[in-house]
Amino acid sequence: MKKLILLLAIASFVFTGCKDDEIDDDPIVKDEVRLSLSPNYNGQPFDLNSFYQTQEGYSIQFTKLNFILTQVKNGGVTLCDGAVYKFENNASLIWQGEGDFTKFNAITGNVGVGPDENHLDPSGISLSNPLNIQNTGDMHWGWNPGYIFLMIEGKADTTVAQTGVHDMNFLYHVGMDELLRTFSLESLNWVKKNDHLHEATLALDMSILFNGTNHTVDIKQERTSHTMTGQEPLSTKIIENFVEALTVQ
Amino acid sequence: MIKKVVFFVVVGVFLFGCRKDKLFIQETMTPYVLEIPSHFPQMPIPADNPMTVEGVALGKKLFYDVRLSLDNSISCGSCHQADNGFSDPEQFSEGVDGTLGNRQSMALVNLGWQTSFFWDGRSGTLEEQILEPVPNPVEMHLEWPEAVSRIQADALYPDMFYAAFGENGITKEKTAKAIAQFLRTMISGKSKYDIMYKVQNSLPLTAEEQTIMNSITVEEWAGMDIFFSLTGGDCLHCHDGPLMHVNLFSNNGLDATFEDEGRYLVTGNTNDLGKFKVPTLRNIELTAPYMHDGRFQTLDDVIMHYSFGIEHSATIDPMLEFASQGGVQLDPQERELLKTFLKTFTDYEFINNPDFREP
Repeated sequence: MKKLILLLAIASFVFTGCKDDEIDDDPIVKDEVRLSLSPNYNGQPFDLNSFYQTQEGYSIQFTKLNFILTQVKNGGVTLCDGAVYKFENNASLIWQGEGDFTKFNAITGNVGVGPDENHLDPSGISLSNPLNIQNTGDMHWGWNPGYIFLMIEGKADTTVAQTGVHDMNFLYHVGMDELLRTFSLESLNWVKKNDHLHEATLALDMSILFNGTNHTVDIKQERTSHTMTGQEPLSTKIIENFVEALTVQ
Repeated sequence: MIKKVVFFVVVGVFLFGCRKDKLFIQETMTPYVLEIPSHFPQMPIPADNPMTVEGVALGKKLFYDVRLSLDNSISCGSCHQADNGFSDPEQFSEGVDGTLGNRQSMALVNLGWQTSFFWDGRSGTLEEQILEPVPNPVEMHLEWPEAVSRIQADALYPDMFYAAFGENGITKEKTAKAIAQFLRTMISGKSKYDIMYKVQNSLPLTAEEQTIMNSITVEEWAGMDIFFSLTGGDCLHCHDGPLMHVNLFSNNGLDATFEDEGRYLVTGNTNDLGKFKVPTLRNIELTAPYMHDGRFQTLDDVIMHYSFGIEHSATIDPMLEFASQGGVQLDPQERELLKTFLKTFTDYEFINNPDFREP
């Protein structure tokens, strides 16, 4: 009888005594969506090592492509409040998080940060928020100007003879409340990556930055803007061309 | 006999049946509360290396322990001296047997917010970075197994490691974690610049800060204007924000050709030739000599470089907008004002903090 009791005690402990509240054998995996970017230059694959040709015939090379999107939604359903994209190491990820792809056949959003958030303390925001200064890094000018919505940098050979020396830098840092622009994209093509992840890829034709429907930018004459006094018109051209360049792949 | 067997089985099951390995702060450890300035972002702490009082104390002892070098001659603190802003006044730090490297010792400050380490950024975490100098032949030149043996043989360390990590055993990884914890406590945010940053952004000042604010000179404010002016020093692209640091690599026009290829040695990407990590300007007054190779002895030399000495090369940073004319062309008065502002980054409370200095 004693043996039986002991046996039951052991069996009871083995089966119930090690219950682990922290390890879930069958965790619920939440569905996620991923928004990616595939930049190109007039159809050519885009990277920071290649040279491209502008409409004026200048050879150019990009050294930086960063931008901020905020309030990315479909109607009343939010995909993400903010996303900081940096084309480093050929990165494609704009944002990934919990979401149901079936609710986002189309999206709208801002290129840049709205006035309500643009002048908040960038250190005071949660670290998990892409707009925290630790995440935006150099995409912030300070509280009054706020965030740099779009950073495009590179080098150009603007000589008539096209000598191959790319010693003319171009740089467009676009920001300020009045240059916030919206984008709207229809018919997103969601691709199943696995049972719990779907991905939609946006395209960005960098050639349109200099050759849009409404604005052209001649790098030789218009090579720099920090969106400071007198530079707003050039920044306006760049960000409006950027919105035009952003499409669904 | 059967009863005895059953008894030991029962005891065994109860004692060992639920043992788990977990990474968390045990009850015997004391969470370390970082003193983060109100205008700084939250510091990201790795989930597998939470800050504890015991870990920080261990890390400090290790940081200043010369037994981590082959001939017991140098510690981490030898090349990161408090009076020099936790940097080295020598152009190249002297390792064991007088060996020299080819890069200047980087200042240790606010490392918890940085995302790459070494001038070429070859380490992505502080813990990873700390593993390198001990076996490096031009630094401490001691293989890790021997270093761990020495630590193990010490009278105090085994207990300190147990207190810090809640388990027996000393490894190089735990050593690196402890030192990383100590380094994360080295926060500098009480310089004059911090008060100027707060004022410019309408953040409230304490009474003590208000007193310091009243001592900030016209020249220091004027120097700040030059620093942040696009047509002045144009320094803000790489040195900005509450931390006065951005995580970037840049070719800042030091050379037309590169003796040290910098970031390229890590990435293999020709676009990274001659690029180096942009350092913080915190305590810059104390951290001479300057640049990755310590070529400039004074702040005047540095300012002259950005004014007139920019060399063009294929990978030069486009943010050096005045590179084509050799630099930003500051006149003598502007250069002096800029230097005056650079000295506002000195945080004496940080430098003199006994928590950071060698015991």
